[in-house]
Amino acid sequence: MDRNTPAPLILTQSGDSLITDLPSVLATESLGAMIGRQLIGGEVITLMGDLGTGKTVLARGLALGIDIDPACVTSPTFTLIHEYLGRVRFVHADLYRLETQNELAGIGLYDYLNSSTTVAIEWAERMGDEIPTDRLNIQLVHHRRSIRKATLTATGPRTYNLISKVLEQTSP
Amino acid sequence: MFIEVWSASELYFLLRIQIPSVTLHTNIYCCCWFEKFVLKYDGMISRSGPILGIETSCDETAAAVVSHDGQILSNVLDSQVDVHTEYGGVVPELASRRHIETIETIVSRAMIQANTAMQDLQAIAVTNGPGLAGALLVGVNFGKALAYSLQLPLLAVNHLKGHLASTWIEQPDFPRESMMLVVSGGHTHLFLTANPGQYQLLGKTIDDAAGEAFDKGAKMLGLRYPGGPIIDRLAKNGSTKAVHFPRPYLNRGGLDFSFSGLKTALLYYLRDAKREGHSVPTLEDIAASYQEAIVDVLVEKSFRAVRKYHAKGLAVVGGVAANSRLRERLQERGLKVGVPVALPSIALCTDNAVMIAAAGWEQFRLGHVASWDLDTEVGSAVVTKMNEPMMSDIKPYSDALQREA
Repeated sequence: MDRNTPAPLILTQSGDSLITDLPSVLATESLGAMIGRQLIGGEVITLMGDLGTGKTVLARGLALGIDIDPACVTSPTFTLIHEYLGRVRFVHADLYRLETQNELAGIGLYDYLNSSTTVAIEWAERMGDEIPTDRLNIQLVHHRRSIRKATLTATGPRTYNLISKVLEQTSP
Repeated sequence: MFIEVWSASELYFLLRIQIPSVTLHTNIYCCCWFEKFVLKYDGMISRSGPILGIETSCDETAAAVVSHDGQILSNVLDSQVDVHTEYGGVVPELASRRHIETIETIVSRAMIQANTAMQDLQAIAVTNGPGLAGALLVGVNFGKALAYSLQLPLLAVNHLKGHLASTWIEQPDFPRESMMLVVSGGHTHLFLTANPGQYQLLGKTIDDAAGEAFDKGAKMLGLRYPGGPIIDRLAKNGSTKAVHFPRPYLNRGGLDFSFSGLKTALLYYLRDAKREGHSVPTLEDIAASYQEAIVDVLVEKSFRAVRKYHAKGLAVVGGVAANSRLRERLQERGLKVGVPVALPSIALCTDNAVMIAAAGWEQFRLGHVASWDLDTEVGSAVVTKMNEPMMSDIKPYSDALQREA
C-alpha cells in the first residue's frame, strides 16, 4: 500500500460537524493521518460505527499522523487497550467486549485520560455517561457499497481547536 | 550462563545471595560494559526445584508450577477456583481489581496442589507483556515481591513466548527447528524457532486476529459470544462451498495476514442477500464457508512458511488452535507433505500459567534473569523486539524455487 499519496479528501461543513466520504481503506487511513498530525496529546477521539466500517483503519491513520509505525497498529478488540509511543503517547482502546460500565475502571482506561496522552476509543458508546465531555466524535457508517461516510463532531474547546486545525490543513 | 545486572547494588545482591544458592565450579568474572555489569559464571545449578509461573496479562489470573523435567505439578486458573465464596462478594470481571483480589489465592492453590514449599522453588516467572497495563502490574509486582522475599531469581516472560513454549510441554520430543503459528483472539503471528526461548517473527496480522474474525463474523450472523466455537459447531453441518468468501492476503503480503476484509465481505454478503431476497444458504452453510476462508489462509500461509524455511515441524498454539476444522486441515496437510504438526491440548491452547513457567525454564537455562526494576511492557510492539539473530544455517528457498512451488 502506498501511504505517500493519500486520496484527496473533501470535508464539508454541516452545522457543527464535518462530513466526508471515504471511498477506500486508504482514504480512511489518510483522514486519520490528517487528524493525527494535529494531535498534541490530551485529546479523546471516540470512534463509533458498525462492524467493518473502518474504526481500526482510522486509528491506524491517527497513529501514522503521530509518527507511529502504522504496521504495529492492530485491532485491540481482545486485548482491550494498546499503547504506543510516538510524537505523543497514543492509546487505542476497544470497548467491544465490555458488558458493564464498571469494567471501564478495571481495564485502566481512566488512567490514560490525561493531558499528555491521546486516546482513541472504539465502541465508545459503551461508556454511557462516563464518556469524556470534550471529545472528537467520529461516526462511521456504511454509505453505499464499499463507501463509508465519516461525520466528525467536536464537543469541547480542545477538540474544536483540533477540528479547525484539520480544516486549515485541507484548505489551500 | 549469563546473568545481567544493571547496578552495583544488584551485583552485590547476586554475589551475596543468589550465588550461594547454586553450586558453582567457581569461575566468576565480571565486566563493565556501557555502565552495565555483566556477571558471567560457568557452572552447574545444583537445585532442581520447580518454577512458579504467574500470568495476569488480560482476563485470566493464573498460576502454575512446572518441574525441571517439564512435569506440570499444578495448573490453576481463577475460573476454576470459587474465589467469590472466599471473598464473600462479587468480583468484577475483566478488572485489574479482580487480579489483585484473586492472585494470592491462585498462587497458594498452585503451590498446595504442586505439594511444593515456596522455599523449594527454583525461580519465579511472570508475564510482563504484552497486555493490559493494570493487569500486568499486578502479576509483575506480586512476582517481584515474592521472588525478592524468597531470594529467588525473577524471570520476565513475554506472553507470546509463553504460548510458543507450550508446544514442548506435552511433546518434549517435537523438533526444535519448527515453524510456529500463534492464533488467538488477539494474535495471528508466525514465528520460526530453532532453540528454546529464541523465536523470530516472520509475519503477523496487519489488522484483525483470526479469532476476532471468527467472533465478529458470529456476531454478524446473530450468534452468541464467544462465537468461534459456535461457528465451529454449525460448520460441521454446512457446505464449505456454499458461499465464496475471499481468501484475504493469500497470494500477497508475504507471511502477513489480514482478516478485516473478510469480515466486511461477510457483512456485504449478508446485506445483499437480505436485499435481493433470493434463497439464502442456511446458517450452517454460511458458517462453514466463512470458516473455510479463515482456515484456508491459516493453513496455506503456515505451510508456505514451513517450506520456505525448511522447518522440521509446524506447531500451532493459541485459542483458535481449538477449532476442529483447523486441526483437521492442518493434520491432513501435515501428513501429505510429511511435516509433523503439534497441536497442544485445548487447556494449554488458551491463556494459562503452565506456559509461562515453561517459557520461564527456557529463559532460566539461557540465564535471562530479570532485574528488580522489572517493568511491564504493555505495547504490542514488544513482539518485534523478539527478533533475535539465529538460525544462520536455515536459508530461505531461492525465488525461483518458490515460484516453482
